[in-house]
Amino acid sequence: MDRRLPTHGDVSRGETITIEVDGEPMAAHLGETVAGALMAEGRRVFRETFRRSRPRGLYCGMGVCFDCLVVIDGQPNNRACMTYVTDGMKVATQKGWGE
Amino acid sequence: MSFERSRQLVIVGGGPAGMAAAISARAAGVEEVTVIDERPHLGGQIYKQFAAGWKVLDPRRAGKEFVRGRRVIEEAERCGAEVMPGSVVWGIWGDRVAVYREGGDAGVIVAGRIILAPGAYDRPVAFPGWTLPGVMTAGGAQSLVKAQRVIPGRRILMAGSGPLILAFSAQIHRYGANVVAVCEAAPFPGPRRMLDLAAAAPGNFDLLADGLGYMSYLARKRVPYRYSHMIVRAEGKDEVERAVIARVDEQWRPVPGTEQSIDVDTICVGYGFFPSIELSRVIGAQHVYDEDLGGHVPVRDRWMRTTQPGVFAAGDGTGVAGSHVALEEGSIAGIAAAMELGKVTEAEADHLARPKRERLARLERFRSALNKTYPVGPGVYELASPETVVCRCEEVTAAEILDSLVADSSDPNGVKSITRAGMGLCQGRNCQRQIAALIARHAGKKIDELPVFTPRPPVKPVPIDLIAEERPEEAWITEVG
Repeated sequence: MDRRLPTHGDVSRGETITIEVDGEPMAAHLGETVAGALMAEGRRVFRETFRRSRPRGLYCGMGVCFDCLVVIDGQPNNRACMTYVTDGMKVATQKGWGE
Repeated sequence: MSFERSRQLVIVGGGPAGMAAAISARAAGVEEVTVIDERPHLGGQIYKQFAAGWKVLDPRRAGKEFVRGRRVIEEAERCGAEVMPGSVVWGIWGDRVAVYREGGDAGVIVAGRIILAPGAYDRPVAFPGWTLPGVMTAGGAQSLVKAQRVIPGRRILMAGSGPLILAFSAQIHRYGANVVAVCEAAPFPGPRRMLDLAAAAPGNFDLLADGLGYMSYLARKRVPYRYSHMIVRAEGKDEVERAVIARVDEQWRPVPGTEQSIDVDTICVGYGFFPSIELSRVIGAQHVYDEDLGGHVPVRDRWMRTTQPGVFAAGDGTGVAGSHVALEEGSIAGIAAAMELGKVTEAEADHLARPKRERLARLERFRSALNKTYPVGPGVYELASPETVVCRCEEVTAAEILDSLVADSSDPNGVKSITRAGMGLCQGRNCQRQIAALIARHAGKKIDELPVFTPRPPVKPVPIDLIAEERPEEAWITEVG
């Protein structure tokens, strides 16, 4: 499932850590955004919209669109593309406004 | 929890334009310079650096842009300007710049002069299925592949127009992503366009060479480059499973009967960029409309002054022209701010700005030749079907938008209050122009004849209690009476 590219010796990834995604442990690297870590595992559905209950994921990737919202350590509405992973971080896919 | 202080110069945005402005303002004698940026590091989108945790082993192999960016960032860090990373400017009232720092505190900086360098974002294009996971902006995909070394999917269709869809396609392929095809909406540039580009090339050889290099790379790797083709539909249940493309005419309107289904799991959309004009609009500066610059752009004089006294604007946020132009414009804005603050005379400022103006004129020739080769076709606004969600945040469809038009009204603000389209978290950045285009077509008008959404702070979402507590506008209201 890993969609991380080989780095060809120009850079090297940060140390491997473990985050929790919807209750399941998942490996990630320091220096990855939550969006990057989820995409790397092929998890592209980040949330379900509040009105039509439709799946959404990473769209603009630069903090503009607010489509990649996830729950982080119990707090909803975090942009996965602007938040960096930390060891033990609890990430949950968001339903509606996550409350 | 809150602060209020004064600085001679506040620069909003830490990309090429903002950094260049800080460097030149400091060099011209401005003592107090503060650069504010939402990201954790200087660099902006184009010079985005690897986040803490990554190790850069060989900067040269990390790419030309990376090396160039590194140089500017180091100079900006050394120039003596204060940097406020992870901070959002959510409103400006007169000379009062309201800042929210991630993690909690917020406050106001009273600025002697303000330079806006907010940059740009990918042009949103609504088509059926564009909200499905797996559809993303070309800029977002490039950043994911380049700065995180993660592919967005196994089989990628790149669809868009202009030099950046070409560059991004070649770049992500080189990093190892599987680009199945590239759709370029514009027709194959004929001999005349090629000659125009070549004529504008003197002094811009590296830019032209980059483009030709990307083209021959994709040809060597046998990635099909489909001119006069656009993505018209994304299909799939919960994620992208297929893309439907079609041949388009010169107006970017699909030719009936030319639809073709491609088996992909990812669609990257790159039809150029929109300048971020929220702040220049909030301060009440005058704007003009230019589709090829990305839409409404602030009016400026040769010193990068907006029509609002004390406020300058530079870089892609004033009309999308790329990092080379942004660096020169930022430098000129920094010099001009120093001039207005009395640090250099007008003659000295002119002398400092001259080489930058010359480089700008040369870049401008190349850019206008490029714009003639890749003009934005009106068909870009016509792909949504009635059921297509146009406002992603509030999930409002094209049909709901048109149904909400009262009598012969063609004011997008009316649509906003009835349907909530444009009131979501992105604050209309993704849907505003598309709503205007829908209404314009319906009313038989041009987009730039329609009023735009009334800009209101906060221009980015910030915790509501902070705004309630701060009231940065109050002091201003008392001042102007």
